[in-house]
Amino acid sequence: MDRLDILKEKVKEILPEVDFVIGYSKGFDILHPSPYFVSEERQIRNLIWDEFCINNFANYLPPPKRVPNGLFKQDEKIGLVVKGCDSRSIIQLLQEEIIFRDTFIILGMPCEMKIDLKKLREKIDIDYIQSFNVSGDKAEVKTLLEKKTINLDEILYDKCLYCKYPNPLIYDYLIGDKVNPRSREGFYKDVDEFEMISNEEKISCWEKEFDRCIRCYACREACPNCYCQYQCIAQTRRPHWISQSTETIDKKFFQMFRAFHNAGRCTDCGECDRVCPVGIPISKIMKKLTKEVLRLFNYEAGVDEKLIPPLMTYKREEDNIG
Amino acid sequence: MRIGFFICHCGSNIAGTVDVVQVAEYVSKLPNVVHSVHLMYTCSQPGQKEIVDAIKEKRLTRIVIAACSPKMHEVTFRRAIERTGLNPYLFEMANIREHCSWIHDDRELATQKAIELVEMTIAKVARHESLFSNKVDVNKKVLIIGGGIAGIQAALDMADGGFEVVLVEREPTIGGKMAQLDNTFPTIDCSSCILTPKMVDAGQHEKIKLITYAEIESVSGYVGNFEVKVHKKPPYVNYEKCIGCGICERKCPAKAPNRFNLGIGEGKAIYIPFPQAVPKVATITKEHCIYFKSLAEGKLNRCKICQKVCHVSAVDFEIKDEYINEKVGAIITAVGFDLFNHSVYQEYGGGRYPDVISSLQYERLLSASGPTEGKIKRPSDGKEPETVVFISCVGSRDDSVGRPYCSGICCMYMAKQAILTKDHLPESKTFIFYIDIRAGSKAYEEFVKRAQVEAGAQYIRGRVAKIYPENGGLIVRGVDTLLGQQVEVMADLVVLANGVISSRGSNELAQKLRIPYDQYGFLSEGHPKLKPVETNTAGIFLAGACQGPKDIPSSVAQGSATAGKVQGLLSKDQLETSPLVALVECSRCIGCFKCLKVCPYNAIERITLKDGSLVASVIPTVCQGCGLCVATCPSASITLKGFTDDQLIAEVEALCR
Repeated sequence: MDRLDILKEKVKEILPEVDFVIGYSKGFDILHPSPYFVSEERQIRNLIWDEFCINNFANYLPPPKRVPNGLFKQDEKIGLVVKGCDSRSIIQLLQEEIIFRDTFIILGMPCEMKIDLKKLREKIDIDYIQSFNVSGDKAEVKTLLEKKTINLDEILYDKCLYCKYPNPLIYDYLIGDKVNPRSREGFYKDVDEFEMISNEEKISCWEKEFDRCIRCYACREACPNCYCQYQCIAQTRRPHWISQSTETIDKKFFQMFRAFHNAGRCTDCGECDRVCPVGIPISKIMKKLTKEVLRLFNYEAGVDEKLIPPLMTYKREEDNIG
Repeated sequence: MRIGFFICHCGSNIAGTVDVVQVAEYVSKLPNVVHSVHLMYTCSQPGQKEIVDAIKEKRLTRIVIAACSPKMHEVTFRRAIERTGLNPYLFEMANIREHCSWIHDDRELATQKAIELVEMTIAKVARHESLFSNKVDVNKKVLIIGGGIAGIQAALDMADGGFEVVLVEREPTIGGKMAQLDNTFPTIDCSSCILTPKMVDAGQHEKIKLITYAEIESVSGYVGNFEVKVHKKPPYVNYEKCIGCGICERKCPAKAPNRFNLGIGEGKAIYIPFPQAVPKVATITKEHCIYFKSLAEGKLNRCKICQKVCHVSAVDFEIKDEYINEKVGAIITAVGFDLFNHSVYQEYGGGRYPDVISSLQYERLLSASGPTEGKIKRPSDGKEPETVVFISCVGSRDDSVGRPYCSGICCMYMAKQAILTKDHLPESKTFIFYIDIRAGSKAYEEFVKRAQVEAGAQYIRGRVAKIYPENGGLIVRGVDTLLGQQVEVMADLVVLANGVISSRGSNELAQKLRIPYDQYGFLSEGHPKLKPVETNTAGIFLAGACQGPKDIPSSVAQGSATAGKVQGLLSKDQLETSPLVALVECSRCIGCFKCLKVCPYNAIERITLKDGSLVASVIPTVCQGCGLCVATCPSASITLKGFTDDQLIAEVEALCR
């Protein structure tokens, strides 16, 4: 049976227990599925599962993030579709005790790959997309204007290309069979390369990137770890750590403190990067931090719920510091 | 806002490097500053009067004093300001002495830096608010950790003063290192004869609760209200029932190294440390007990002889770890010291030669209650030594083993042991290899002379290069630096003067108590001269050798000193707490409770607001103002009063202007 069919069956099974289930449904085109809230059985048929279902639904969980806008009731129970990478976000939030395991049901989706639209756009004009079919390690893409066969490796998200955790690390129900993880080797290649250049070059490179930031805070909104919501210090006036101006220095400051707030917590889900409307490679900063956390503390965020994140505890003598 | 500014000459301490007149003039032109003067000694009575008068005359609402470190005089100035009726927290100090004049030479640049420091402080003080302290009740009980002579003295002084004492000791008996000594310098009086009366007093005093064979598990709370969890290790003997008759020890078939005699002579798996132990009870060492060993191997060999012979059925193999919670107002740490392990010295045999022993082992050989009943018999063959060589500074004053400090007591105990050797064996000869003789206290120098003249100890100034066995003895080869020649002594017994190191486990304890320690593991006093028995954590005090090497008189003096300090503290019914504590702005708190996890003082609690949201709240009397929560809070919803974000931003902005 197809993974989607199993999912639909499972959603039908758990729907009486929960207020609703969050899954994916068709968006405005085949490349942009959107989050879909299933609260009635008739909606189940609209669920989809393909290479473009990318949103990290862990973002819907932290109460500070959802209670103020009234989207959810505080005591409701929900179900959600969770990929391997998303499950790490959930583990991180559980470690932080910001969410509680008995308030949601995880439908774990083993995930082969997701297509990076930014990469795909470089290969083909996707605005007129008609069909996208995967066969083997190639994809046949058809638009109104042309038809192309593209190597999948060239259009996968980086995180998928080196995916160590394609199967959810935490779940109530696993949908279908597990898939094989890929090698992590080379994941930090871009960071390693960036580290080689001089400090001046690094600064000017990032200033150029951050200069494009429009402070829409999409990165923050898409990040499951960023749950300060309206109390985010990027917007508060008291204390006035950061001004509302669009000077590069303020934008840089915003991006930098967001990165540091995520140090040791970021699971490299890449949502910040994906949602940035001006294409700032935010996840590169996050990746640098996860790399450093791995080096210093031998720790990967969101892998084992029982571990204490290294920056939330202390050791008298750190092994790799000092 | 009317800011008054006072800059202190501090004699020439500040004015010698910083042009204080220029600073005062500059500051007088800053906005909101209505009064700016320079004073010779601001902390003096006339200086304080100037401040008080200026507050009254110029109706000042904020005060900035540029002088020394706030650690020195912040309290002085706060009190002066409080006398005028102004809130004492509407005041800030700029440290232009330690942070400026003392560390710079260039007058012009130092003056410029002083101006910048003052500008920052003025920007900060403009954002100060009136703060008010809280009062908390004081628990009038004291916890003393360590039942050596320092701890016993502190316990007796506290108890005699009418305060409840909890005395926790790691070993099954109190007495500490002093109980292991034979005689004491410089009077050669019997150590246990002067110690055991105090031990008995401590054991029987109605105000002293003795918890032996126990360690501190955790400490929380703050001055006046500490909560301590004591881990009582299972001795497998009911201390309440045991009468200390010792029949179990005599009948026990399991041999074990005798810990009290430091491995000289044999002990048993169940043991009473020494005849005058307090409490005099038996304890089973699990790792040597036949019953426990067979249990661990899954065999059914059940010895249990001790249980069978015990008249009072005190032996109980089912005793489990016990945790005792105690609430106290103050804590005295008197965990003592350990001796340097000389096995790192390969030139002295690296611990392989049985007749090269530590000074404390030698004390046990000398002691009438020791393994040889006071007869000096060398460990290898039980022969009485004719020549005994002492080597000083083993693990002291030696950078190569990471111990550059002087242990202070070894010169004296070597002299004492030389005298005692002559006393026990009148025919014997003693040689002492020394670097310097340090005999600085009362009657000490005379005592060393006595060793040299009366006991005929030969002092050789120089280090020992090598010890090696030959013909059943030991050749000690060294140098006599006064004669400038090599010397070789044929010794029967070599006694090493092991240096003093911090007690094992004292650093872990320090972490639980949140008190600092130095690079050698000794616990740090509040101030080397003015706070010798206090720590930087309020309500926690230090007595004896845990703070640094000390002899018995100094340890006893410190035991009494801490008792005096604690009695002063606990004589108050209430303590004022600092208002410089964290505050959660509950409307901005997102309820992630990371603050709760990082708080070392358990000062954060969860509260529910009227709208049902769960937020963090600081218990102001528990908070110590460390600021960890402030740094942790992702939404910056926590501020530290007196150091708010706005104040710090103002300081930074003033600096960057």
